[in-house]
Amino acid sequence: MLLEMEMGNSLEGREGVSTSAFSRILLGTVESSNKILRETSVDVEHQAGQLSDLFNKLTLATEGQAERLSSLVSQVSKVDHEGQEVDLATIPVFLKQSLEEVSNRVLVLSKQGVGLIYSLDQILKEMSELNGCIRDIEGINRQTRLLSLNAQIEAARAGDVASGFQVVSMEMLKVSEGIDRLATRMLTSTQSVTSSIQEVISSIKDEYQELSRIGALDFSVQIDAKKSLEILMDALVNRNSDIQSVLGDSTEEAQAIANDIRQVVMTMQFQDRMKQRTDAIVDVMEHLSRFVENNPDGMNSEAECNDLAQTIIDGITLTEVRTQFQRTFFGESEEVEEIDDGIELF
Amino acid sequence: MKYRFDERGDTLYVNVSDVLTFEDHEVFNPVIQEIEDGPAANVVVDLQELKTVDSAGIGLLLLANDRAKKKGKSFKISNLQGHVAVVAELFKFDQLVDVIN
Repeated sequence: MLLEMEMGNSLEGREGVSTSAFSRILLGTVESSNKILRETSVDVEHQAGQLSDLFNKLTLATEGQAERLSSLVSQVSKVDHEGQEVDLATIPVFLKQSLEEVSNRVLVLSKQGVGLIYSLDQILKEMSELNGCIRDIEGINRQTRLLSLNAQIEAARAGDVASGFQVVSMEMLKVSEGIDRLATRMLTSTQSVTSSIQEVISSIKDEYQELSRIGALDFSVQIDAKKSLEILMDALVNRNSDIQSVLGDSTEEAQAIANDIRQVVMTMQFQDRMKQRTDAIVDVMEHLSRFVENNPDGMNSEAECNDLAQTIIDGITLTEVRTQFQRTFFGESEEVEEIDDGIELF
Repeated sequence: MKYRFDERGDTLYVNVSDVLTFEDHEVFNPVIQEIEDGPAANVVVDLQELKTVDSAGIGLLLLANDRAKKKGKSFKISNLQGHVAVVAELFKFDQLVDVIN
């Protein structure tokens, strides 16, 4: 028989031992099963170990991805400016403040401009008044000269008696001529000052016209700029918020994936338990195998079989397997003594 | 620019209408003179009928405010409308002058 031929080397030829055909089949089955179970156990452990390594790598990669996304979320709303982190949301406020500051300076300049023109207008009025005074002085001076001439004529008619009076009238004429020269100089100066002031006023008006031409005075430029700025900045902030939201979702998803993979890795550890169970079964079968080989007649002995059962149970360290065999062999579940071998800690 | 005075009690109401620009600085001068030298202790400039203002117009109003304050008078701007209200909001006019509506 094929079974006998294949098992011949292992079951026959042992001195002093006689086994039945059924025993040989039983022993062959046990030995083959042991071998297959051991190979399966090793194979499962090896494959499961490889899977665990792969999943661990996947977990690390996913966790790294989640960390990078988290970092991106915190960075996407900020920009570096002169070595400092600036929140994008503060930029619109900063730009609006800058625009308001520039516009307020325009207002201050406008106020000073019209104030200056009012002051210059007032000076022009006073210069005009001064010119009128000088003209009056000239008129009075002309009368003074006429009086002086009349006095000289009258003094000449009166002869030597009025010679002193003639000297006085001559001096009056000289004084009058001096006043006339002074009035002329004053008039020249006031006209020069008036001309200069009018040039300044004209220059200011030209400047205002130029500013008006480029739209700086009716604030159309500032108003348009402010509206555009608000629209752009609102869009920027909204877009930034959207990106943060999407990245936040991605981060959460990456974390969830990492957690799932971690659960898978934990679940994969079943191979340890499976190997322990397999090893326990293999040990039991080896006990049986040795018993049949060494003491075939003992299979018919109640006492020896009971001893064998107890030996088998004592040799099992895995609680659940030992309990199962106790239940099977003795029909009851004895109080199991925990064996602290550190293996059953799942 | 056009204006009219309405004095009630110790308050001078100045109604400014049409447009207030640099070209109006000469026309506005009597307004400043009245605010500065008139007997009223309080001044309210009503801009309800003012359609447009430029920087010089705002400058004139600020100048009127300065002159009134130098004389120890209260000065208020009231009824900002349309373009004038937009400009006032742009420049935070209410932080420079008392504004009432």
